[in-house]
Formats: sequence, structure tokens, C-alpha cells
Amino acid sequence: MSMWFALKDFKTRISQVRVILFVIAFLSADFTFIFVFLKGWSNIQIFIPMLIFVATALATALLHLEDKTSQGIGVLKALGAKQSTIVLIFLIELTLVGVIGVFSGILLGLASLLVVSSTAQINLFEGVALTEAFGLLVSSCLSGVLVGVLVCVFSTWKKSARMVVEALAHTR
Amino acid sequence: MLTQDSFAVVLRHVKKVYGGGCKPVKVFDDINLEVKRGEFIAIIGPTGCGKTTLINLIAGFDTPQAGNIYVEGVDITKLREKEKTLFRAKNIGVVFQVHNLIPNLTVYENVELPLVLLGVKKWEREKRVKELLEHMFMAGYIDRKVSTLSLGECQLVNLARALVSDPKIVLMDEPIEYLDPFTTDTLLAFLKGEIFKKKTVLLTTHKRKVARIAEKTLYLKKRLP
Repeated sequence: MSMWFALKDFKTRISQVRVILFVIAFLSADFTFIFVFLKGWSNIQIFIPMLIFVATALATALLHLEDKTSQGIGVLKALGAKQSTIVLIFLIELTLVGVIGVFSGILLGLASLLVVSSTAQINLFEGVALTEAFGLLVSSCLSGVLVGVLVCVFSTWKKSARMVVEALAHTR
Repeated sequence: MLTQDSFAVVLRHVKKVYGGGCKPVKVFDDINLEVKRGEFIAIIGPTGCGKTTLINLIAGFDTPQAGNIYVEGVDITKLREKEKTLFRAKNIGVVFQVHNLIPNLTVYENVELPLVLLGVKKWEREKRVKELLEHMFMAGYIDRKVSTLSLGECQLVNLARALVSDPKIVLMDEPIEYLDPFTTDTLLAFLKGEIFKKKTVLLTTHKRKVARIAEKTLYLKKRLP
């Protein structure tokens, strides 16, 4: 059920979530660019603050999305959706948005690095252990998404624990 | 003699107060009600008399401060939230005043949703939704997004969504308040139709014309502060 609803909702809501998707992609692209440019994997003093910033920004973007989409919780509860079903719907939707945003952002960041490298004729990838750096990059961004999704799931859980009448009041 | 099981809905000494503090609003104080199975009852009264509160209490959307509410013989005030949700999905269909449809889904998907939540198989969902929409002369709307419908059309979809799981009890909270006279007549004609014959229906309204279609009319008076 949760998958049915989440996928249908995600598919049709894509025009609404595209701003958040763009924000997540933009953040991830920026992070990728700065991470490679400043060789973040070898400099923990740069890497840790960057990671905290990106994780907070990704979590905020996802929380904003959750806040916008959680208005339907009251209706779902009134129609007979269990609390766990509602939470699962949001978990699937937010994870999809987060993962798609992060991967497209990383690809965008790498593409812009290639463009800068070829335009300025500097090899920005020099001395980069690609597998290690890419792994660190992906896991950093995904940990940001994970933090965001967990915060959102907690928020959805609290909202869906309300009485239906309260949840419906938030729908209007 | 009628026993508690002969009734679809029974309210015993129900008390409902909104807000705590120094100025609580007392909506019901020791209200009692008995609705027989298959009855069509209109609840009429002025704004603020507690019509929506009554529907919310019977649907299990809200809980009373005191008293018992029996729906199909089950005291819903004793049920936990999870049990109440399941009970509602199986037994009660609610038509909201504001249609509360999910705008991103199509008419078909909105009507299908209660069946999905009940775990009904896909082929059966398809059969039931299509049959019902055809019966309501809405077959042509199946693939339309709800966001493209008029208010009246949305209210018909709202009604279809409440009926699709074939609930024993249908609760309607002022379903006609925002509709134009033509759509009102369509909806009223439908309410008098075959599909409602075996159902227990409680409809709230403040329009006498709407109340006339019911077998019985209950008047709720507004409590003076």
C-alpha cells in the first residue's frame, strides 16, 4: 500500500517537488565541486565543517518538503491509513527525492569540474584517488539525506499520532 | 424489545467540551441518541450547534470527555487509535464538508484509495470503482486529475470515495453547502437512490430542503454561552 501511494504521489507531485529536487542537486553539486577542488578527503578541517553544512542544508530542504506534503496526513488517517503506513509513504517519497537529488547533484558537480578543468587547462583531478574520493563524496551526501529523512520521519510520526480531527484541521 | 445490537449508532450520556482553561466551550452535555439500522437521519441546526462535532464523534475522529458511543454494537470510545482506524475503514464512510480529495491523484485513484488501504485485490478494486463511477454517471471522469474538477464534481467524487468500500454507515457533514442548485439536485437525487436503501445514513445540514429527503430529522439547538 505505502509503495503504491508513494510512487503514484511522487510521480504526480514531481512538478511540485522539483524545486526541492533542484535545491538538493545544487547543494550536492556545490559540495562535489568544493570537495574535489579543495581536496577535502585529505583535509579533515575542511571536510568536517563542509559535511555538517551540507547535511544541515539537505535536512532542511527535505523537512521543508515534508512540511508541505504532510497536509494530506489527516485525510489518509480519516480514510483508514495506519500510522505506520503514513510514515512509510513519507519515508519512500523523501528517500526517492533525496537520492535522486544527490546523485544528479554529484554528476552535475563532476561535469562542472570537467568543464572548468578543460576550460582553464588545469587538471583538477590530479592526485585524486577516484574510487576513494567518489565513495566519500556519495556517502557524505547520502548521510545528509539520511539525517534529513530521519528528522522528517520523526516529524511525520508525531503528526500522524494526532487525533484525526486535529490532523484534518491542519489539512485546511 | 430493541437491544443495543438493533441499532447502528447509539450515544449514551456523551459529553464533549472544547478547550480547557478558564473558558471551555461545552458542546454536548449528556447527549443520548439511537439510530436504527438502515435509517436515514438528517441532523439540522444552526452553525456552531455541534453538527460536525457529532459526526466527528460517531466517526471516531474525536473522543468525548464522558459517555459511550456504540457503532454497530462496538463501543468505539474503548478502542485504541489503531483499532478505531481499522474499524472505521471497514464500517464507516465519511463525506466531508470540504471534499478533502488528494489533488495529485486522479478521480479513479482517489476513489480507489480506501480499498487500497483495506488491502482489496487490484482486479476487485478496478471492478468496484468502475461500477460505482458508472452508476454515478462519472465514468468519463476516471482519468481526470481532481485539481481539474469543479467543486460540485469534487463533492460527487467525495461521495463515491465514501461509498466504494460499501460501508454500513455513511456520515455526511454538510455535503451540499457549497454546491450550486443544479449539482445539489443531482446529489439529492442520488441520495434517494438504490445504493442508500440498505445503509444507515446520518447527514448534517442547515438547509430544510436537504433535510426533507431523510426519514427522520433531529434538531440540535445551540447552547447559550
